[in-house]
Amino acid sequence: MPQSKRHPVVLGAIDLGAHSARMLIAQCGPAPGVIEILEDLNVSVPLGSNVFHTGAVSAGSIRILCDIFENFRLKMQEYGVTECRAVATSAVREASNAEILLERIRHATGIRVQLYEGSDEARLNYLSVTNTLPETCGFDRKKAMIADIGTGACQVSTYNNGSMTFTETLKIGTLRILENLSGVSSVASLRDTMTPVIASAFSDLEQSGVDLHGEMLVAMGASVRMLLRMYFRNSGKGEITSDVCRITRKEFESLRDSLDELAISETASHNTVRQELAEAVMPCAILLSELFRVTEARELLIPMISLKQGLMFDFANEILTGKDDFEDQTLGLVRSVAAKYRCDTEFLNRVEANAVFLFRKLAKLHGLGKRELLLLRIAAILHKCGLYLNNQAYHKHSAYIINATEIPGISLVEREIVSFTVRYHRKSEPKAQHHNFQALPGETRGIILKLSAILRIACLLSLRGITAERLKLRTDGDRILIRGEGARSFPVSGPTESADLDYFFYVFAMQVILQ
Amino acid sequence: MRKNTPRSEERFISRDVSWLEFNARVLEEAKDPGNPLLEQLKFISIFSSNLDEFFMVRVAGLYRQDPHQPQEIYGEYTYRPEELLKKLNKRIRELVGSQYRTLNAKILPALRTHGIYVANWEELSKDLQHTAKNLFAREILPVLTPIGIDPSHPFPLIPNLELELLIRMKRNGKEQFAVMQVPSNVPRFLRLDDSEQPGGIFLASEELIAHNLEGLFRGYEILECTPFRITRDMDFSIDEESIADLLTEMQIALQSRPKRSVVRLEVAGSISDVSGKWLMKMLDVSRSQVIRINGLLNLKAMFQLAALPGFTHLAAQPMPPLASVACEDAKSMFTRIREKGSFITHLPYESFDPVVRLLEEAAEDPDVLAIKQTLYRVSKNSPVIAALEKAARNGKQVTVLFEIKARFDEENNMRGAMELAEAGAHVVYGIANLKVHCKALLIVRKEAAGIRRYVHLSTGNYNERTARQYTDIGYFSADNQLAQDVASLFNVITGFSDPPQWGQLLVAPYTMLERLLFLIDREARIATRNNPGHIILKVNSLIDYEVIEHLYHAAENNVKIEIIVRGICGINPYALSPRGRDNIRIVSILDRFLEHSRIYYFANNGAPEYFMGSADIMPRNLRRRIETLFPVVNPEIRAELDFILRTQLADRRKGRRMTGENLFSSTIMQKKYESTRSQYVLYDYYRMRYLRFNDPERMKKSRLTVFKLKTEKDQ
Repeated sequence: MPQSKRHPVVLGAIDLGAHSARMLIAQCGPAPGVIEILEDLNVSVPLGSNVFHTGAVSAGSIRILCDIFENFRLKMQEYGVTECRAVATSAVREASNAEILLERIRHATGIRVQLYEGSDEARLNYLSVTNTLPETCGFDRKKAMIADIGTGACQVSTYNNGSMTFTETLKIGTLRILENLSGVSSVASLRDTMTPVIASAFSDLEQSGVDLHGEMLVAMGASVRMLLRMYFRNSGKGEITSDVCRITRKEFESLRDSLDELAISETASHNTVRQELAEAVMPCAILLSELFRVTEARELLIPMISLKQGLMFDFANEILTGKDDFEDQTLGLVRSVAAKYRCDTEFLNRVEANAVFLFRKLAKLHGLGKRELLLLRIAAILHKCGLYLNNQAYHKHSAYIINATEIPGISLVEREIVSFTVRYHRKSEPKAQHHNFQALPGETRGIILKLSAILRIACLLSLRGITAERLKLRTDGDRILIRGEGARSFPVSGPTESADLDYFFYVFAMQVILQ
Repeated sequence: MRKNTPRSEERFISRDVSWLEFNARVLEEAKDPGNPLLEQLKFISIFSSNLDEFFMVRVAGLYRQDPHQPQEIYGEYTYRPEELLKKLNKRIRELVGSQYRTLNAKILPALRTHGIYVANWEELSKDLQHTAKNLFAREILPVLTPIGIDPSHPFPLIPNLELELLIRMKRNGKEQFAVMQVPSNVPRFLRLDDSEQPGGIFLASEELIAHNLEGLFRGYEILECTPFRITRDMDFSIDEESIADLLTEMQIALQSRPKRSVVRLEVAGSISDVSGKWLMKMLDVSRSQVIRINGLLNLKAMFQLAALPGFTHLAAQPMPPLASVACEDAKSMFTRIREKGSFITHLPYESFDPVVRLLEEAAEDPDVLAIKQTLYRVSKNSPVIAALEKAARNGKQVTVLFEIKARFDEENNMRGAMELAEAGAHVVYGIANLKVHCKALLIVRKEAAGIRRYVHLSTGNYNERTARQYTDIGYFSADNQLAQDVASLFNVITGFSDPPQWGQLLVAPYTMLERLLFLIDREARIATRNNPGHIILKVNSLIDYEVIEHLYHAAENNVKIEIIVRGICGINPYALSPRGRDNIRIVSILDRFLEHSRIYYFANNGAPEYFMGSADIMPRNLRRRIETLFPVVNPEIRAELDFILRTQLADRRKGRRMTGENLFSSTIMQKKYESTRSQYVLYDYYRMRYLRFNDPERMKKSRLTVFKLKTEKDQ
């Protein structure tokens, strides 16, 4: 909910990454976009090296993290922080004991850490880029790629005229590469060993048929910023002062070719840069080389903004305005996915519009919010993508396609809601033997039932060629009367339609009458 | 004169050799007839006190090293401990001799003419001897503990820096020794006359005891009673990487101090060979460690006489701290800082009260959420600690970094730290292997417009006592960028965060050295013969040889370098080419206040940069301590700093010029330059500013020192 706009609010943002735990405390508002950083903390903890090596966070690291988060809690108390958002990225996401770690932190400090997916990072990357890049860069007018080079993964997202067309998490982070190659490769031959590993990951992506070309390449991540700082220092340009830096392909190539391990470790000792960050520079440079190759971009843009800053911008925006600036991107990407599975765009648009109409008109009945509306729209757009595989039980195919698709802007639980909404938008209602559904929390099941009931009616109306502009809806006791103005009468003709109306009655105890 | 000086072969001046010359300048203040007599006496004490510390730390350190093994300092520059000790020993003996000659031949006789007699036993009349004996029997005898040394009573543990008596005696034809501590809870100088006039006749306590031994050693024939005093190695380090609790380890380390090795033995010049050799054997000291004194031992005690009441005509004229014009009204400190923007207070010309007031207001203010402060040396009953305790009790989040490793103040600091912790403050005892020397205060306050942070950064400690003696500059600000840096600094100190990318602050050991070298090199890069660069450094010590090399390079490349340094100075301009040499000017000011502020100025081709802070240019400050330098951008403050620097550079009364390798000009005969005496000029400047602000009418009538700043051309 948006906060009072008369006073600024003090917010906390925590990012638990592979190398360190970081926290920002910022004073935000009262006007949207006004953010004053009060505290910026960064504590090293070798999570990535634990997880990429052993698969789990070590007991020692858990203890250290509990202490760090307790310090964070104290710091938030010191500033009277009213709300905090804490996220954990790839290292924790992949740890076999992630749940235990997060629970230990919650128990020790009261801070709830949310697991951040690659798609969540893609969302933050977009918000950070659009908040930082000047208009003149033309992100909204070009084909562009945003690549977030992390320690455990590289999140690659493509945009066309400012709309997201693709995103994927590649499991090739800087630290992961170093950890995987340690003991296998000598320091001297590290570069030669890394290059084919990285090239292979990108080759898979290219073969999947995704259009990766872009005039603009935007790279993010601590190692990228570190590489840039080294470039600035070594070329006598001094310290970086601007929010966004540009480096041409030629400049990048000469920087990459001049890197050697000894220079990197010397950089670390001389510039008081953390050693692990300095070491990440080499794999980062090779990753960037590949990105240049696949995009064929001539220039690299680097916003000097970290994940925690992006997180804070997003959080503050949500608290102060109640808006999600990324919603359009999510829907844009979902439409791209629907197009990929050759869905009928016109029909989907009609279903989506009808679903939105019904959702809004029946707000009192279902009691759901804006977030659920977004999920309903996604379900409406993707409900037919299973047809691409098979006409039989396509709702089930749609459901698992959704489950296998990275959808930035929604959480994993939300994706599951979308998936089940699509699963139950036709044919049978949830049954006792549907274990996956029954295993969900009651509240989630309730949302799915409501959304799928609405989607069924929206589909039913759309099949009859009715569009939202021509719909009228009113309630009369325990009946909902829906009329398509100017349309032919649409009597319920078959058993399918009847089943959908019965399903709606089953969920809402209200009978839908189509007039 | 300077141009004729031959080029020196020594590129740097040794830290310890340079320090001794600093103490020689302290001694010169005792010889300056322009100084009031009691002021001269005070400098006699300071000289001794400084020397004690030098032995406990520096000389002790040299003794711990392999005497023949060359010790690396910087690059190819090394020294051999044995040679250096020899050199130091020679100079120390010269200086101590000079100190006693000054005291005995000049100051004590002059004091007599003003009614202050420091007598020896033989000079006392029978009546006064009788009075003295009564005093002895009544107040001293009960607290004496003589210890006879024999096979069943081994030589006792002699405490560091305490005055002792060695008694050689005889019974049944057999000689025996005893030792006895002169009680430290008895005044060193006992007044014997009953006159109501100020001053009087004083007898040293050891002299009184030495002449009243009969009752203590009955049956013995006293052959000799002679005072002695030892100095122990009091420098210690703790392996901080491997300890769990620094506070406990410090307590253990302090407890072991009395047993540390003896590095100096001071004995009376009249001590017999027998007694001297016996003492040397018992204390395990060599002949080179023994210093024979012709006069009273432990002249630190002269502070007692220098502070005698009733002699204002013999003491320095009072210069009470003035109220700061920036805080001189009923408005709260927070309002002042918010409205006025950044401002400075210059101690001891101006009062330390604004800091205490800010803390006290913060302690009571319901809008204050948190207070963070570094404390390095605190006084007993410190109002700073009292305010912090009150704040903690009032529910504020109080975080205090107590640097318990501050040398010779460890015990005071540990006590203060424990008191604060009991009040509920979060007390941190420093960082492993890094001494926290920066002086910073941060207050987080919730206001109508949101969170605002108030910062006080200083060149000196939060100690209201030294604030009356040391020249320091405190900087008040609510600048958000600076506050964020200070907040980060506290996060680093308290272990809440790794070092960040600093915005405004230069922080050692992370970015300060690199940045300073950059600023020096930049000056050299842009300077030309027609457009010379300019650097002014006002520091207590300048001995980091890497920085010095960069300064040399700058001086050789058309950068004029002016250095105001109180103490150690490792620069030897005479090792440079004539052009480089002429570009370096070094001034050392020693006067009634201890010069302590650090100001850095870089001309930067017309876009000057100013910094102030806690850091001297020493390896320990730049590499092994948490130190800060903060930039000053406010034009008014910059103008004030300009005035301070120019005033000090123009001081010919107390500003000694380096005139040769480790040689400084004397100011003993410079009374004619009294009008350039920078500390007096600055006091008048602040007094005038205060009057202009508070009482313009009175200001018109006020007599101010006439002082005309010399331009660079005049010089």
